[in-house]
Amino acid sequence: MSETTETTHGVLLTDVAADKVRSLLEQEGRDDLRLRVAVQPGGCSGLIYQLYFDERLLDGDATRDFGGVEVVVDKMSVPYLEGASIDFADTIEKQGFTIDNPNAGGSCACGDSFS
Amino acid sequence: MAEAWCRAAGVSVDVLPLADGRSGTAEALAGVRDVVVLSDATLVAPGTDRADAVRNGSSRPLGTLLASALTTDARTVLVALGADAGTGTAWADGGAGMLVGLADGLGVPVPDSSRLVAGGAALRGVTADDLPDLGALRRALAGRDVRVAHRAPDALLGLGGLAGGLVPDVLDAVAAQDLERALGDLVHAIAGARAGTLVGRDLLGAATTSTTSARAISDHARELGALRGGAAGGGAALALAALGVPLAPAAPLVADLVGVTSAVAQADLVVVVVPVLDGDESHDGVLPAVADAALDAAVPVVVLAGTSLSGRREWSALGVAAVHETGWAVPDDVLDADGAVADEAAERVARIARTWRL
Repeated sequence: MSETTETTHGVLLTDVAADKVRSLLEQEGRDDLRLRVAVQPGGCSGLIYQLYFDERLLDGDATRDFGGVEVVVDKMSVPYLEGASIDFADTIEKQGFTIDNPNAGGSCACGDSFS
Repeated sequence: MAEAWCRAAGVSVDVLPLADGRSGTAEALAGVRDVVVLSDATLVAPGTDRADAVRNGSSRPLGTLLASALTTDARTVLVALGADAGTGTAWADGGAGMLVGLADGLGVPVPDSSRLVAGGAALRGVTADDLPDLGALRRALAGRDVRVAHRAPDALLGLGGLAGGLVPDVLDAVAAQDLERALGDLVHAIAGARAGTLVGRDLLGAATTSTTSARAISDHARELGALRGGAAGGGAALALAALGVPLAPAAPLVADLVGVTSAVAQADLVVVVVPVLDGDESHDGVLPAVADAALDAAVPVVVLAGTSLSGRREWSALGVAAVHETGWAVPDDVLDADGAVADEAAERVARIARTWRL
């Protein structure tokens, strides 16, 4: 992982995930996009994650740069994501982006929500 | 009530108006600087026939209002969508009309608006080609802090969605199924219009290899149809989410904007006044937003509820110290014929205040 700006949230982006994000951004042909991670109420365990490309910056957003990839977290989600790590895997066992959150007490069987 | 409490307990009382996205949200945020509030509750004319509104009503005025709001220099534009199947929506068109109103206001061409502004049922068969350029609308909104604050967490489609929630009070089962299909067509059209880009798509569990395949479009449509809060505002929340506007529960958002956390931290006691304390209020109302802040600050919370339908175990789990049932559902219940606070109401508040004298 590498960071070039002052830390304002505790979310980490692994090098593998950062590389994948960079390639997807190239695919999109846009250089104005950020990777937004958020938590929302919902799911059987209480909270669900959201991870998506976003061109907007909301009032109160916390940002952190990982080698040119800007990860942004809204104010309300910051406490829930302190120390969380975004990774990317492309194996038979596991594919896609994943979030590993040390704050999560438990998750539901479908893996979509946590508490 | 604050005055009565102040006199009885000999303390100073700060009053903070709160709201959960429904009627009163704009008023609660009136004192917050740099925020423009658009409320769908203000677009429901008194006496509107709900069945007619659901069949023929259009969310176009909301889009027009939003386009106007974007011309102000407010830091935040908050779209409060508290109207839902249960509370009386003025439309059930999934936000199709809103897209037209917004596009017109921003100068984005609309191929053919006739089907999009004729109500929910008219959306049957709508395709991506009927919609305005969603990318252009998204770019127009991207430069501003626009948010949706919703009351109910219901998704647009499905058994617990907008159409299903209208049965049997507003629509019969057959009409509701027709509306569900029409809204499903709209959602699929929106997903199709957004094919070719990953922007706004949930990257967790979503395929990142193709965004234009029929499978990818179907997956995206399913994602949109199940989006939490998508049914708010007759489905306008879903359309706004497709334009990149984040959806969030209204009560915590309003609480944050009016400064509940700092106010609670300076208080010795928090009193929350609600018309009804039930499961709905305990999950999606103002109480949990306030109780969370009070718990962090170790300040006790007392609830004055017009009616309490929750048991001690439920409200205790929120961190509430006590609930007093007052019998007052609306502010008018505490006023006398001259519009002043009735003596009986004032005395009841004073009795409760003396109980909690610190």
